[in-house]
Amino acid sequence: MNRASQKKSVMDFFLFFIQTVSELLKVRGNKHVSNVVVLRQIVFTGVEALPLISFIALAIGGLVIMQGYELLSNFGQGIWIHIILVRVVVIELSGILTALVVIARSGTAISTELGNMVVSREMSLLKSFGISPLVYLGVSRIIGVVIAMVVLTLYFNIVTVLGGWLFSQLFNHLEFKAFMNDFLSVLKLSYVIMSFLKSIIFGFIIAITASYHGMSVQKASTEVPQRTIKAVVSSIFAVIITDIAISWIFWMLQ
Amino acid sequence: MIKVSLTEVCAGNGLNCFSGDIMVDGCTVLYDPSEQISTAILSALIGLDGIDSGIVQIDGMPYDEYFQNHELISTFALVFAEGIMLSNLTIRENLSLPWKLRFPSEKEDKFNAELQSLMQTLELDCDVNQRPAFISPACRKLFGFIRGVMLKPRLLLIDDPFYLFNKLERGSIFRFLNSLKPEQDMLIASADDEFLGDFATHIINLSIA
Repeated sequence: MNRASQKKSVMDFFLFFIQTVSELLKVRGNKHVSNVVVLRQIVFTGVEALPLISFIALAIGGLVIMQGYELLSNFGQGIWIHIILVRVVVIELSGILTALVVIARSGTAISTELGNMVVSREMSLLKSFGISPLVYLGVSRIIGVVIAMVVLTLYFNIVTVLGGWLFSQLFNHLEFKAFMNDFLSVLKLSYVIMSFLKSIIFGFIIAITASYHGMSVQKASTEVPQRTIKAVVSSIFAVIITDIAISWIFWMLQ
Repeated sequence: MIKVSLTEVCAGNGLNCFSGDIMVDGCTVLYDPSEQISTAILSALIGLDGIDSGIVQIDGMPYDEYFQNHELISTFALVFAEGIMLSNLTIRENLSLPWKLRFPSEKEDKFNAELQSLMQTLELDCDVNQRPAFISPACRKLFGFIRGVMLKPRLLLIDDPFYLFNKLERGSIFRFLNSLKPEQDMLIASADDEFLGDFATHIINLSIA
């Protein structure tokens, strides 16, 4: 890609971003936002991802406890394992791992589906009804992905903590109530807000990037996988950069 | 009756352009053996593309000004040649999506009754709760006709009505369009000779334009 087309691509994305945000701001009362599309996106991105998220969350919870316990035991501080659980999982890993799962499942699906809809002229059909494809397909999906992402991240945190407690039983018997008391004593409101904020922003980034690339397909079906790859790479890059930026801002504020 | 004035509306390659007035009072046929200009005209009317390359006026008013006071969906409905449907919705949802926009205060029962009646007329017997990918392209196109007719637009635009149909289906759709003429103004783009005879109120022969 030469410099001119790169510049055009950035400009196109910027315009798409501005249009999407302006439509999102007036989403209330916009009859082109489809509840059907929003609900189906929540089911696909959220509900159908639960088994995979559960598996990853349990595994991460267990691994963090195992590694953390071994590390802290060397200093005789094994009882502080829940601090690692809060710092590593709730603040950092839950958001980023959920985002990676959502990119792999929903980002690719949105980009591919929208790309195919462009090729089969379904966007033209929507325009012929006077419906904005950006609002009906893009904005509706963004809302669905953001809602699903918030719920999935919360679910990831809960399962990881439960998984962590279950694995901690292998090393020393700890009452669930005591474990949770210790966990909650370390968990600050700011950590919860940061996790919540990250999940909203990550969901938005994933959905808008996938929608942009899907809708950028011109005519050929061969463009669809190319655009999907671009959507995945751009989403991963953007999510990690944003994660670093948000964490940095929070540490600066504290 | 509706009057559409077009100035320099061109087909995709920009070489074939059309300028002129189209009066539709009943049924007007755009006879276009190349099938390029007629499709460009229908696309321009529905606002898909080509509008920048030409000037369109409706009842003497510029296109954008006209649609400041009128809804696109109540003015034009396009039956696409390929029978396009949204793949993420069922057939029923595909039909009800524009219908609910067109008639927001009407009840679902009326939609169901109209759909049933039109399906019987076109001898369509299939499950409308399945996705469009599971029915044949010809069936999809028939549902495209039903969708357009159910919207009761001021002008029904039909692009290549016989495309995708076999000889029997062509006969069926021709009879259907004939029966529709008294109640619905239509602008049909076609290269088929059947539409040249007594069928149309007006014929615009684009092959000699």
